[in-house]
Amino acid sequence: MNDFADWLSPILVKELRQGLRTKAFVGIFVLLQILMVISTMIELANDRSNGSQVFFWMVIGVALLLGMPLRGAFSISNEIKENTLELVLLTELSARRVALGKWVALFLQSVLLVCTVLPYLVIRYFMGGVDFIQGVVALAVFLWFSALLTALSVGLSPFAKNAISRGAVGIFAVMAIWFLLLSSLSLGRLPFGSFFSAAHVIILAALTPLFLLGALEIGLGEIAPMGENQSTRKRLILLGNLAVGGVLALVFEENAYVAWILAGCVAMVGIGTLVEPCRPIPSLYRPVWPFRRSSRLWRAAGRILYPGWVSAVPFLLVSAAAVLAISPYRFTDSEQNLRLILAIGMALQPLVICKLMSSHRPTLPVYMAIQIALFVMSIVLAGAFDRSTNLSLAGLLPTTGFFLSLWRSNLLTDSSGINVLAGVALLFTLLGYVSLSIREWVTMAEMERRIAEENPAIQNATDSGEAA
Amino acid sequence: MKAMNPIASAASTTQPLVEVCRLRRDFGNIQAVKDLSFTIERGQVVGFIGANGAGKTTTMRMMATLDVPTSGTIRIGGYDVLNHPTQVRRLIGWMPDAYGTYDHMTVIEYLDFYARAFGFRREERIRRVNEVMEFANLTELTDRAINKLSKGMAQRLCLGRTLLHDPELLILDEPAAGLDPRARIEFKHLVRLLAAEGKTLFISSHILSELGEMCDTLLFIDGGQVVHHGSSDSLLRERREDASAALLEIRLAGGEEEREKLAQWAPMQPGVSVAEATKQGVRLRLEPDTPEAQAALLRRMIQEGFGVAEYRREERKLEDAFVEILGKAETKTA
Repeated sequence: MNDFADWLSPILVKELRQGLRTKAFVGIFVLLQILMVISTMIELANDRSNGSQVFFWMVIGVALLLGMPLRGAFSISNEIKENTLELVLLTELSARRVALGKWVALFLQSVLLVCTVLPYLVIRYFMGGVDFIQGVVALAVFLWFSALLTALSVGLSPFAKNAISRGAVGIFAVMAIWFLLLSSLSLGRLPFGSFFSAAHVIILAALTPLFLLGALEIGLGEIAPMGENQSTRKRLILLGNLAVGGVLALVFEENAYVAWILAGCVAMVGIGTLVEPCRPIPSLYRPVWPFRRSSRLWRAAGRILYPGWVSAVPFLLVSAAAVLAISPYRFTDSEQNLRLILAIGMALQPLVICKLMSSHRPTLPVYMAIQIALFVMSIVLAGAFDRSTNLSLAGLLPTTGFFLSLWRSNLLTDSSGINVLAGVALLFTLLGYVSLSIREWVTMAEMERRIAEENPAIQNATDSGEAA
Repeated sequence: MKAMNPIASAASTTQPLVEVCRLRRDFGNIQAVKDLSFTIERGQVVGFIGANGAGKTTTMRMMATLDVPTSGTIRIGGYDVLNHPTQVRRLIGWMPDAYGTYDHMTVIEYLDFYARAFGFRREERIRRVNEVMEFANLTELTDRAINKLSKGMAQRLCLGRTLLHDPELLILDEPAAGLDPRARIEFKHLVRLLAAEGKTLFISSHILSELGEMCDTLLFIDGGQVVHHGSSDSLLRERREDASAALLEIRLAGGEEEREKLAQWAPMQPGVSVAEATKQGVRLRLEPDTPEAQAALLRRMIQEGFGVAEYRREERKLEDAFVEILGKAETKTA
């Protein structure tokens, strides 16, 4: 019982004890060693051919960018399936600590895999003349990507409860393979120095911790007991990421680079908030209560931190505006503005469609299924519109318009009407949201009133703040 | 086991430990629990009984802070489960019907993980794990892999896990389901030990006879509502259609002729009627249900020359009472 120190997270201790014995890890470990030996022998025999280099990095990529993230994708869902997660959550461990512990355990296992690869790099250096430093940098980049992908997959894991959601995780895996193929091929051909400048490395290093935390938070609402607020912190982390990103963009003058990373963060966290349920439980609203002590403006702003899809929409709009403010275009580039309008429309449409069809908020798998259906439809329509002269109609279905805007850089010149129609489509989507959310806002106000009645001290502080 | 839980109840010790008030839980259009109210006193062992789908597990999950009521309140140790879930979790031990164990772990690793998760450190952690292992009779299984345990052993392990933080209230959902007779006896023994230590236990089960032996009170629910709350004895007395009469099972040494003779003789005796003829005797209904009346009847039978091989007062079974309650509830609904 004393093999691990007391200060280590219990979930990390459990995962390490359990994880190192699982068939998945042992399988990955043994297979990696066998393939490393084969690839090194091929490389030595072929005298540094390009093909063997690709194979070498491909093997590492499969283990780190596919194997470990896939294990992450089922790490929490397996606990749900085995009925063990609830028991853990009834201890002193929170859902957040569980997710973090699982990610740290998987990351440490990835580090272990990387360490076992280092001897092969040394052999390649002495016997094959391959640049050792370049190899170590490549491994570090792989490890970093693996850490990010694993955090994202652990964050998404609570949603992989049934066949549909496991399918969604499968799509995620295919995307990871796609990414892996591209990166492996690139890593095999290009020197790493040309990938990132020093400024890029600093920006990535600064944004990575908040990205990791944000990714791990995505699915916590699905596993934590219903009375626990798992949304406000997630939103605050994203706002923190936006603030740090803004400062970095100013310091390094890398606005476009930072804006793209932040747009990814907003999409990741934003979609997670759009599928949150709205539950009239006082304990969900208490973490936002400090805002009650501030001015009316802060109190209103604080409402975008409440859990649930209703507050997620204004939160997403605020976050998108912040990304746009950081980007170099800053509302002046019509093409970029159009893309932003279309992207917001894309994000909101599945929510409104689902609410109109079933009156329930969508779960993430349902949201993704609607989004995929819209994607497929849009690709077909975009293909049709591309040959048509009347492109402006594409604005009515934001996804179609978004695809067209990526394919044709002169979309606005070809059809100025698309901007107006995209705006109209977004407006209708927002109107749909407003009509569907009125009841929830009223419930939220009722909730605020109830908590204020239960906590007269807070109410008095608020009143005196307003009077001042 | 030595009490260690540092979390004290917010309520005074004279107040009930559990107070459930007008509890309702809807799943879409289905009302799983409706207007359920009951209290549990400290140190009581309460059996929670109901047919499948009656709302037992839903109620227990809400008590364990794993689900939220649509309306109504649950207070445990004076804490509201919605507003103070953390404090409530420290007071309760929850054991679901699916035990929830990990493969690739040994018994001691499993308990050590939960001891760490409950915040025990160093010597205290080791001591606590050892105490629980001893109590649940797991000492010999210390290094056994969990996937190599029998169902009974796994159940003891999970009960041990539930006890690690020394909770005041144990909520056990179908703990004896699927256990062999020996494991059930061991489980009953553990429940008795816990009750003797003053723990409050809230147990759901379908094995009613065992619940009757273990529990101080029984809480019957049907259709999400309480239909009976009281001791098993009171249940058996209250629910009998003819509560004042005793049913006597009589087996005769003679054959068919003697049985017919008894069937004719019995109705002529004061307070006696024939309930039914059995293979080797008759079942008689005797009023009043007193030992004196039973003794007098036996004496008269012997004086009359009947060869009485067996004379037994039939005990009413909890199962019968349960079925009767459900029948009455259905009639009421209709």
